[in-house]
Amino acid sequence: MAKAKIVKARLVANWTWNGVNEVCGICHVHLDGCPPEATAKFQTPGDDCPVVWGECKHAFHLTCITKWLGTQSDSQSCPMCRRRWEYSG
Amino acid sequence: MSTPCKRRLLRDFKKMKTDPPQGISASPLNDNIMQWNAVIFGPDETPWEGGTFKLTITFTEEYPNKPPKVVFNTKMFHPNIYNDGGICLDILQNQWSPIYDVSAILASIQSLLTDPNPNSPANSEASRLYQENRKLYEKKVKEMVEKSWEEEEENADE
Ligand SMILES: [Zn+2]
Ligand SMILES: [Zn+2]
Repeated sequence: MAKAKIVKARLVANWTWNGVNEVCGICHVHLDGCPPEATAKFQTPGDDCPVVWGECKHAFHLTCITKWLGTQSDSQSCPMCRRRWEYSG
Repeated sequence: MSTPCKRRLLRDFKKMKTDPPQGISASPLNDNIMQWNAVIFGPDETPWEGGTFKLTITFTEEYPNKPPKVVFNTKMFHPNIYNDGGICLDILQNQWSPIYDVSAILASIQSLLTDPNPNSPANSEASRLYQENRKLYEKKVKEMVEKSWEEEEENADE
């Protein structure tokens, strides 16, 4: 049998979309995964990335919502429902 | 380098490939993911039917926290589209939300074609005709659609 040598391997990742509720509306990564913000820095997938809820019951990664609120000068609104953003609990 | 913005744009691209909205296509330039070309096809059974309208979308590193800049390259006749191709659409300005992606932006522009907002006119003639003389307005739109084919042919000759 001839020996085969792998010269090049291409890794293909598959993403699935299991309904909007499980995905952070801002970065579109699952809430149990890490937003690109975090992975770009020091975390590896699987590490815990904090998720926060608003009074309106919408959830986002902490880093994602903080960045969005930071760009809004006057009204601090939820990206999903545009209601005033208040951290829940 | 991979930035949060670029990763988000890769996701947007993936979604455009796997689940594109009807009558819309878009993809980034080969060498620059911050710059996209898009085509919106005129919806059937409207005066826009048969038209192919080209747009360019330019993103900044602040996307999705800031909206991209979207302009038509095809000459348009529409109450909310400026002569230079700029679009007057609330979600691209003060009603922007970071939950929008390329597919949502283009779908909104597509529905703006057939459902203009007379309250924020960008083209006063189109706006006036739309409200006062719908027949002539639709005739002008159809003329524009035919012109978009000519542009297409000219570009093909180049
Ligand atoms: Zn996120
Ligand atoms: Zn909300």
